[in-house]
Amino acid sequence: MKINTTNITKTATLGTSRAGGSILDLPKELLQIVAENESDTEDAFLKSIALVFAINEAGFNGVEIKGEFPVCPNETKPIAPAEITHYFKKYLQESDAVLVSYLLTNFRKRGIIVPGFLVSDLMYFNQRNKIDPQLLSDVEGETGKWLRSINPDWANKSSISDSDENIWETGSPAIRKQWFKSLLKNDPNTARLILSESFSAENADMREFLVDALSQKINSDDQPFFESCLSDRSIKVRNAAYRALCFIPGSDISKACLNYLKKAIQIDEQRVMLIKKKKVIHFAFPGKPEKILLDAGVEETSNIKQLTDAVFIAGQIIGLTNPELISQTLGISEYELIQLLLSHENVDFLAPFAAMSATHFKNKKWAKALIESEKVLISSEMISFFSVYEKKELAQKLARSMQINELIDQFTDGEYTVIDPGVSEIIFNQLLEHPYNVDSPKIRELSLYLPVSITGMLESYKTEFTKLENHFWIKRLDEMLDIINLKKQLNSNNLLN
Amino acid sequence: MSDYYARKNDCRLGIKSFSLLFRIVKFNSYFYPDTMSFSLDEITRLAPDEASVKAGEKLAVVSNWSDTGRSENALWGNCKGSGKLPYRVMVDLGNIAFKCSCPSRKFPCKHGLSILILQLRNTSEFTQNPNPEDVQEWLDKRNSRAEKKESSESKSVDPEAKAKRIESREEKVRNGIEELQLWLKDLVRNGIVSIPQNRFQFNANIISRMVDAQAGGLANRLRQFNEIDFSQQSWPEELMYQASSLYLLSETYVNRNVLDEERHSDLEQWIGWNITKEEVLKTDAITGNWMVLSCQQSEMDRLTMEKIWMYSEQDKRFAQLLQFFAPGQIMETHYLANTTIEADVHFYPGKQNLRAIPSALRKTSSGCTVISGFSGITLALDAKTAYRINQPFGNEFPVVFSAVSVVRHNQKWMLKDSDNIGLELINPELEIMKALSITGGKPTSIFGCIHRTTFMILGIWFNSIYYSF
Repeated sequence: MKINTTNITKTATLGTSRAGGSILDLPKELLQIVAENESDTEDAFLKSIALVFAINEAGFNGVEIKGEFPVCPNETKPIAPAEITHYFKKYLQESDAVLVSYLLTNFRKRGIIVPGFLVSDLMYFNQRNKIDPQLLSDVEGETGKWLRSINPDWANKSSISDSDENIWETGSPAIRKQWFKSLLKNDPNTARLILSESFSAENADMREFLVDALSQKINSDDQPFFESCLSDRSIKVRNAAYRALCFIPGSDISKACLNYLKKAIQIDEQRVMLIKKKKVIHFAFPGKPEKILLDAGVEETSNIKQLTDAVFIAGQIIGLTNPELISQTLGISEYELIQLLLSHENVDFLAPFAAMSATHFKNKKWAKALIESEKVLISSEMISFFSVYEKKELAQKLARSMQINELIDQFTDGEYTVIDPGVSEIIFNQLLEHPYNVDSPKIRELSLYLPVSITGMLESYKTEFTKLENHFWIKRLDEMLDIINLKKQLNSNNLLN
Repeated sequence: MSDYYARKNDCRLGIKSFSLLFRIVKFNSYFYPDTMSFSLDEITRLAPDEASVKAGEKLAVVSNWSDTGRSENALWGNCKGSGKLPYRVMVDLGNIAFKCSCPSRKFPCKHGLSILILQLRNTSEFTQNPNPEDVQEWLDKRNSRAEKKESSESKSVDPEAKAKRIESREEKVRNGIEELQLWLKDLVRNGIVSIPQNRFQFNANIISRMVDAQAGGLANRLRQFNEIDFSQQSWPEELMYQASSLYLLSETYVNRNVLDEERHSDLEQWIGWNITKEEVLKTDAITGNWMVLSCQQSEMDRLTMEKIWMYSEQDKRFAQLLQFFAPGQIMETHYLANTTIEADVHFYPGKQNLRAIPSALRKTSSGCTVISGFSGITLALDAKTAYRINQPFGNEFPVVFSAVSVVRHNQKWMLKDSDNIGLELINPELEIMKALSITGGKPTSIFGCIHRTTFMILGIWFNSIYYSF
């Protein structure tokens, strides 16, 4: 039995002075009891509704549920052991993104997953801290996938969400550029879709940015898009499109570049000290470059003192051409060619273009030679395709040329591979020189990569800074030592093996 | 479970018959067995803040500690500090109390937490020894303090003065109730339509009046009016439920002469007439293992209230402990959910009263075994109706369901039994997700409280492991 409470609500809202106080829905016997004991209208009303609520509550037998609710499939991967789960739970509760990420990566390496009872906490954590989607997918298990299907806030985002769309629609140019770059990295298909839909409506500056950004992730399917940009009303966009097309082998412009360099570069042999011979590079002027090269932004006339037009034009075209193809065309090795360029009298002009080419075409031989020559500023893109071992060999040079944050990024691979002790010292010394350029989370993350052997050095610095009462560094070193000790402890207890 | 209430009544009779044979037992004088050590999670729950745990973890390295040891009821050690002398740290494992010679105002301090973490990490460093002199002295002092407190509580009072005090208080309550009834009648006479605009102030004066009238229970019920979600369409019904229930309570007090002794006692507690601990301890104790199923803290008028639900498998009954702390006050006893303690539990007088006080806590171990509960929601609702006959103003009814699952139905989260009967869940979304995360939507044993026609999950057993909310 359930008594309708609509009348109660109506009367209570208006007040008994206006709506009266009788509740007709109450059974007669109860109405009589109330009437016998009532002192006034309000007394009767309050007693009656108390009875109505009591009757309704006593008569409630639950709600009939129809239909099936999906159940989570059983886990197929092993679950993280309880010992490590304690730590994981603690870091989740403390919202310690650095250590959560470290443990999750460790779980992935070991092929284990987060225990079910912590998956919802992990999902909430992800809402605030944005874990790498692939990493999350690898460790969330069936429970995570199932919870995503239930909770729309946690659903997989195969396409951009409403809030993301808002950024693209209403964000400032800087934010929009940043957002597009990240989308291109994480979801290139959606990025290409957005680009094709909104490209024509953007201003010249943005169109140039979009073309440049796409050229970083170029593939042969993009050729028609770049070709369509060659007729853009803005010269900046057209130049950007030409530059992009240079990276597509077999495109008209890449052929034109190669043809020009074939005619412009001459390799001769010179006799040295009568018995030895060495190769030298000369730049000739084979005539005006093809129109397509000029359209791509290649300038004809040198605007640099004592630099001939021949070197000026060839240098620009080297920047647009694949080093491997130039070497093949000229019949010398890539190593020889870069050494010849570096020994040329106009090396200061030629080196940046050679670096541009090495970076775009991911040519290690050229990149290494240029770094060792110290003729160019090293960018992170230039060594992005180097292995950790190769970077280690260049650590000292990288430290001299790069910002401290960039330097740290080179040696933190996301997999927590321990950094070589020598490199660790180089990084730490850079850190000492630029202490305010790195924030606390970055230092804590770096600490997870440092070898245990560095503890002694850090301890001695801590003693030194304690004497100097340098609280900034005492705190930083404490953070670093804490993390290294924690890692040591986890490893010594075999929790991470 | 079905004979739970019948047993409870039998126990009540027992309590009455043996009420003269009570023994005064030292409150909280229990100890942990040799095997007892705290998990990291439990130590974290004992800490006053996150920073203390972090600092404690950092200190928990063997090289920082000297002269460490443990006995069956204490843990001690010297911790290297910034001064010349190390800090002396002691932990009373019986009462979970800490003593440290450091100047920290936090309680427990990082050294107290650190020694527990150190013991967890390096059990071999803590060999069993008799208590050192200073540790024994501290423990003795604590015990004598507790005994002193009990003896001062048990001092006989002048019966004439007591009768006068009772009479004066009854008059205050009577006057307060008259005003409350008038206020409630005015509320329904004038209508409640404008209350959401004045939701925090509309009952402020009458709450103060009930506090002055020494009717704390009524004041608390009035405070609950402010917890109604006035953004929901159902707020008028919820407000009227609470108002009418309060009115009925006040009427019960007016007509209290017709009530029997037990109901009279219940009524006094609902009004806010405190029963002294000493009086409760006079009742017969229920001795045995009690599983601590839930410990939840809430803020109440500048006080922190901790509500603890315990269950005795042996006696098939629940007990509710309430602890109140003023800001900065140190907890006399720490309870940790998902542990089992052996204790004497004394129930407050009344009909099916669940509120209790433990004494002589003797042993504790981690974990709560699965409780066999109601197989269906309808059976539990019937039991709740029976309970409400004896406790018409009790808001919560603790139950364990044996095989229920969390499901989504008509845009609401529900608990569903094998007969496809559901009960709406009132946990916040975060807890619902936690429940789903633990169970994967599969049927399992769930502990919680029925509130009218809804249910609040407080703990879940899954694969024989208990997860407290």
